[in-house]
Amino acid sequence: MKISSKKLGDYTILSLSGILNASSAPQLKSYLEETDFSGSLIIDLELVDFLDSSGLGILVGIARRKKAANEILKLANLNDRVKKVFEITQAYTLFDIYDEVNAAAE
Amino acid sequence: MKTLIIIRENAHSWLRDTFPGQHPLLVRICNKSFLEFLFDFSIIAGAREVRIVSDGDMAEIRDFCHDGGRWGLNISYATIQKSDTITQINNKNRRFYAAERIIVLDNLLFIEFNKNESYTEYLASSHVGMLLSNGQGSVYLDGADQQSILEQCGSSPHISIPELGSLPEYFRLSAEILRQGSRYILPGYSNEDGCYIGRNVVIHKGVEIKKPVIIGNNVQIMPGCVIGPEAVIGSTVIIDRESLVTGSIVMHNTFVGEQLEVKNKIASGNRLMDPATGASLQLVDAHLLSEITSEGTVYEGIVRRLVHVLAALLLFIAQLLPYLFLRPFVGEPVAGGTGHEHKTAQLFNRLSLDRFPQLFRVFSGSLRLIGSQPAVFRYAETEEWPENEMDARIVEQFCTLHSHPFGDIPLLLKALLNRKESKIAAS
Amino acid sequence: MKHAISVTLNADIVYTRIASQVAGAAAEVYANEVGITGNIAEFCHAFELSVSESFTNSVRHANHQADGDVTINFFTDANGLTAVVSDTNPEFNPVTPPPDVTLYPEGGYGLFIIHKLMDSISYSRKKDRNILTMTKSAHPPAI
Repeated sequence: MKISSKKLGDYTILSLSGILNASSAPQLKSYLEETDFSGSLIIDLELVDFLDSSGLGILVGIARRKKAANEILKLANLNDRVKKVFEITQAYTLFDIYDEVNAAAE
Repeated sequence: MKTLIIIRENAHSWLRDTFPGQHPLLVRICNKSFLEFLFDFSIIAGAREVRIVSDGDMAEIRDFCHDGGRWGLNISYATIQKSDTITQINNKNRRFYAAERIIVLDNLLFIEFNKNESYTEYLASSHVGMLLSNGQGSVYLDGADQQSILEQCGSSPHISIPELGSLPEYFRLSAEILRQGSRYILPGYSNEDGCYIGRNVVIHKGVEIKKPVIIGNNVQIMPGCVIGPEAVIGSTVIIDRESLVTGSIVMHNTFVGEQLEVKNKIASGNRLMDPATGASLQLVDAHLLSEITSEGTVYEGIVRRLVHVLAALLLFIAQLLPYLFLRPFVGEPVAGGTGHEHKTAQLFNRLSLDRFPQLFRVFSGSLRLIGSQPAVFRYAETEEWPENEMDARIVEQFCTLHSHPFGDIPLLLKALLNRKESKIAAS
Repeated sequence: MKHAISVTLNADIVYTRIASQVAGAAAEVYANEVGITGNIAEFCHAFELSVSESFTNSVRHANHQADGDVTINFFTDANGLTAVVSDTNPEFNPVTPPPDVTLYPEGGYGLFIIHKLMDSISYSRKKDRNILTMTKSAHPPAI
């Protein structure tokens, strides 16, 4: 999977692209460990075509750390397949989910 | 113009208590779900794109609506947090909002409108902000303010939101929709005002139908009944002979027994509710889901046994040769016969040869030839329409109440002829 | 019982995507050939996701067995489409409590997701293999 990040106003935008499953999860995990993501974060999932519970687990982990640090985390641009995973696991209750990055960064 | 429907999980809990097992927005009023009435409003307002957002579980809503194609709508879904305000929801759905006028239906069950009036211009030209509110839910206009049409032309069309927080209010609204049927799009076929009748409805001789009425799909009304005025009969309902249903709602999957008077009540399953007093009565005998008690006298029992054994013997003789001939060509029989099997297997099931081995249990007295479950043939198999266990139980309830040892013979023939259509699994 | 499709993969996490794509493709062929009630894309996604979860579980529990493999079979019958995932791992308990999301768990969603997406799922152990069978109906009963 491809991972990149940039700044937009007060927010850091972490953009993911490709497949987020057990085989790509370690790559995302080490990226998160190496990079400083303190402050407000938006994770842009527009280019993620497939996410399973291994990917969801990492996102939930980020949400937990952000909540503990009292920092903002938003998700943006979930396609229907990705939304479905959040819905059936009820993980949607843990995230603020936006359909556009710019609106999330306002 | 687009519509955004906000569903708040904790709202409308009275509906969850009154009609358990259903999402409040999928509860039917006048044989149509609340949600579908909201869709109708959206369509009349010219908004074909609908987004449903919720802070709770939307699985049931999704299974019901899918992408909205059934209504000619384009429906999408999104999730929100419990504490989100309309502004936050606007932000979260920015892409959906685009630069359009959005009708936000926040926490609403029902909007009163009139399909013969025009809403598009009125809603497009009104200012952003609250249009209507009843303390619980609201209609809010959001998105772009249309600068060009600031002056409203003509009078505003009828639109209001009723108080809807209890069973009496539900009952009152149902009667009102029925009375003003021409304002709404009601389900069923209607050849005259105030009379809407669904598919597969059998109305027997000597039944009096008094307008206004709505009758759902798969309904049987037995001789001598009086239905209406102001009766809403749901789908999959049997109303037994000489009963009266007036000023009442019979919810789907309900069996109304013989010579009952249902006046100003709501009948749902085996409950009879009085909206005026709030009293709810559990019926043990005449309604669905009751214990099946009528086994008749000892004499009747012996006659029935005899009739069943004789009929089973005749069936045994008729089926023996076809069974021996066809059995080797059929694999393990599939219960119920789903129609996906090989041609021989289809014929095998069509001739009810799959039931042949069970005939021995009739001879030994451990199984009835026909009856409610368990039996070689189920009463439910005499009808073509039962599609699930609930439907089947209504038919069985009815047949058991009316069963008579000799009456089982025509029912058996009906079941045998019906085998191709039957969708219910055997015992 | 005729196996329409059978795939055997090394018990290695890099093959997760292959397993789930085969499942998605099998479901797509099935949905188009046999015809299903409901949305085809959702039907395919249900298989893609369920097999992804199941394959991941199989590999996770393989404990680096050098010659471990995971076999995925697909077959159809009157009930619908069935995927059977089998592996050579030690026996496991298929009954897991649903995850409590309020505790922010990072794992434990796999079997729960499969239960939510499939119409029936069963676990058995035969000849030292774990066998997880999951079926989704082509025509689920209407509500």
